[in-house]
Amino acid sequence: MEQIAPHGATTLTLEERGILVIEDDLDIREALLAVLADEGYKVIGVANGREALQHLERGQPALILLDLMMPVMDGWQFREAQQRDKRLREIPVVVISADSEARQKLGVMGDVGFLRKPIELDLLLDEVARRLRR
Amino acid sequence: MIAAPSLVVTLDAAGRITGIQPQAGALFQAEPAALLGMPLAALLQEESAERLLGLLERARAARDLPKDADLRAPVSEKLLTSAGQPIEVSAVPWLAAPGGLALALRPGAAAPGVAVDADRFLSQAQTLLSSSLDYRTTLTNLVQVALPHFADWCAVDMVTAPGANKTEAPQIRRLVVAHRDPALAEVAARVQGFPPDPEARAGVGKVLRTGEAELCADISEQETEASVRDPEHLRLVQELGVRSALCVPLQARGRTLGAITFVLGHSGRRYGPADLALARDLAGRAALAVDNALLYEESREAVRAREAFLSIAAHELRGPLTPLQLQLQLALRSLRSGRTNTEALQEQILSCERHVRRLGRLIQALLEVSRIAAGRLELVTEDLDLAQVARDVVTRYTPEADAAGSTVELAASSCPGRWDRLRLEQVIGNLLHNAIKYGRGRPIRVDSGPAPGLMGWALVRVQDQGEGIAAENLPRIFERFERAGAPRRVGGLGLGLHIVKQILEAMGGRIEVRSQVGLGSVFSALIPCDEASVRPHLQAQAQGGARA
Repeated sequence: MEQIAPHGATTLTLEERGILVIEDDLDIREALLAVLADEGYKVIGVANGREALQHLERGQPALILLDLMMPVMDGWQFREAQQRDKRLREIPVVVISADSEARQKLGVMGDVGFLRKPIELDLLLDEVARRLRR
Repeated sequence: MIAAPSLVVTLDAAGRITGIQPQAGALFQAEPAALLGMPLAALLQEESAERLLGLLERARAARDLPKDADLRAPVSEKLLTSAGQPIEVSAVPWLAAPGGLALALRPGAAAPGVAVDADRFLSQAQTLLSSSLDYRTTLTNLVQVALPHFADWCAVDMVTAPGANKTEAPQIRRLVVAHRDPALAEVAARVQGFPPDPEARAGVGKVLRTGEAELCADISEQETEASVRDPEHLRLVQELGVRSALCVPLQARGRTLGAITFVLGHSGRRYGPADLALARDLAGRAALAVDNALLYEESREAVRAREAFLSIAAHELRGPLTPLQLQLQLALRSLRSGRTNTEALQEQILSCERHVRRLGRLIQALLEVSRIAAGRLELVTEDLDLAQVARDVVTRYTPEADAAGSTVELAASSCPGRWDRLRLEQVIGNLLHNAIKYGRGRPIRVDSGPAPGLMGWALVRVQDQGEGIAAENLPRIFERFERAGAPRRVGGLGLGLHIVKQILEAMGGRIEVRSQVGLGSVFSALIPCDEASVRPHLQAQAQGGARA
C-alpha cells in the first residue's frame, strides 16, 4: 500500500492506521467504506461519536471522516472529546454534512476539512489524500 | 364677580399655595396645612395641570392691562383633581403679593365614577396598542396608562385554553398585576402568583366564561374574602385595597381572549356606568391589538415550522443521495478504468436501487402528510390478527434496532379485528422507529393485544428506556414537523408521531403518551377492533378508560 512521507519527516503506513468513518446512516457509511476501500485505504465504520471513542481506545486511525448529526454522541461532541484527549488531538478530521450552514459553524472545531453531502467522489478522494499528506 | 360659595386659594408667582381656606382642603382630600407651599399643579390630573398653567398666564396678562380696561374679568377653567374630583377654577391677580394670584374654587357636579378624560385616555391607549406586536408588552404598557387615573391597580388575565362552552372553565394565565403606588409593586407582583379561579361565580372567572363585563361599584369585605384563594391571598389583596372594581373581557372574532380588571382601593373612589363604558371601549381596542398580535405570532410560528421542516426534509432527502451518488461515481470510475468486476458492479447497482427506494419512501412520507392534512386518508380494511401484524413489524425493524444497540421484546396476544393493514403497520412501525431513535440503545418492549377491560378495543403499547420527553414538550410531539429532542442531533422528518395520531383518529382510536425525562416513554395506541361497529358508548368508554 502507499507510503506517504511529508517533508521526509515521518512515515505513515496506512496498512497500520486506516480511516475511521463516523456516520450514523448505514447506507452512507457503507458507501463511504466501499469507495475508500476501493481506493486502497483500510477503513472502519462506526455509527456515532461514542462508538468512535470506544474504538479509538484500541488504536488510532490516520484520518477521521465525521458526520455531524448523529444520535447518542453527535459530531460536535465527538470533536470536543477528541480535542480534549492528548493522544487523539492530532488525528486529522474531515467533516461531512448535508447542512450547508455547518461550514460556517465549524470554527469551534479547530482545523478540520469539510465535505458537503451529497459527496462528490473526486472531492472526497482529493480531500482524504490531502489531509493524509500533511 | 365670583359666585358664592367658592373657596379661595392664593398662589405665589411660582404657582405654590400660600393660603387656603380650610374647607378647600377637602377638594384635594388633604389637610389644608399640608397643602401650604405645594404647587397647585401637583394636585391636579396631568392635563388639568397644563390647563391651570394657561389659566395662570391669562390671569397675569390681565393684571398688566390698564386699570380702566374692562378686561379684568376673571378667567376660569373646569379642571380635575388628582383624585378625579371636578372643580371649577377662576383666577384673578392677587394684588397683595407681587405676581401672585387668587383662585376661587368650586366643586363641580361629580359624575358617578372616576371621571378621567376619556378621549385623552383612549388616544394614549391607542398609541400604545399599536406600538408592539407582542401582546404581552402591549397589555403591560396599557395597564400603566390606566393606572394613575383610571384605577388604583389593574390585573390582566389571558385565556390559555378556552372551555368548550359557556359553563366549562377555561384555563387562565395571569399576565400582569400592577399598582399605581410604586411602593406596592412588590405586593402586586405577589398577587400575580394567585391566578383567578376559572370557576368563580363572580369576577374574572365568570367574565372569561360568559364574555360579559362586570361592574362592582361597591365591594364589601365579605365579597373580597369570598373572592380570594387563601388567607395569604386575602392579606395581599387587602394591602392593595379593594373598594370598587370593573372587569371587562378582551373579545375578538367571537372569542374571549382574556380580561382586564380595574380596581379602586385606598383612593376611596367608586366606578360608575360611564367608567364601565370607557373600560369596554378600551378593552375592545386592546382585544383587537391582542388578536392581531396572536395572528401574527401564529403565522410566524407556521413559517418557522415550515422552514424547520424544509431544512430537515432537505437533510433527509440528501441522505440517500449521498450513497447513491458515491456508488454511481464509483461504478463509473471502475468502468472507465477498465478494472470492472461484474460482481462488484452488480452489488453497486443493487445498492443504488436501495437508495432510490429509500428516497421514494421519504417522498411518500411527505406526500402522506399533505394528504392527511387535506383529510384524504382512506382506510381499506380486511380481517387481521393484530398479533401477526405486530410480529411482522417488529421483525422488519429488528435490523434498525440492532444497529442502535436496542433489543425489542414483543408480547403479542391474539386480537382479531378489521383494519387497514398498511395503516396499522405504519402506526406500530412509526412508534417502534421512534423508540429506537430515542431509546439510547436500551431494551424496547412492545405489547399488543385486546385492551384490558375494554371490550372491542385493541391496545398497542411501545415502551422505551430512552431520553424521555419533558412535560412541557408533550403537547407538541404529535404536531406536524415537531421533535421534542434537540433537532440537530436526530435526523428524521418529525412526522412520524403526527402520522400515527392522524391515522389513529381516522380509525376512531387515540394515542396517549407517558414519559419521564431520563427514564423513557410509553406510547399507547388504543384502536377499535372494527371501526364500523364502534358504537358511541364504546368510544365514550374508551375516552373514560384512557383518562383513568
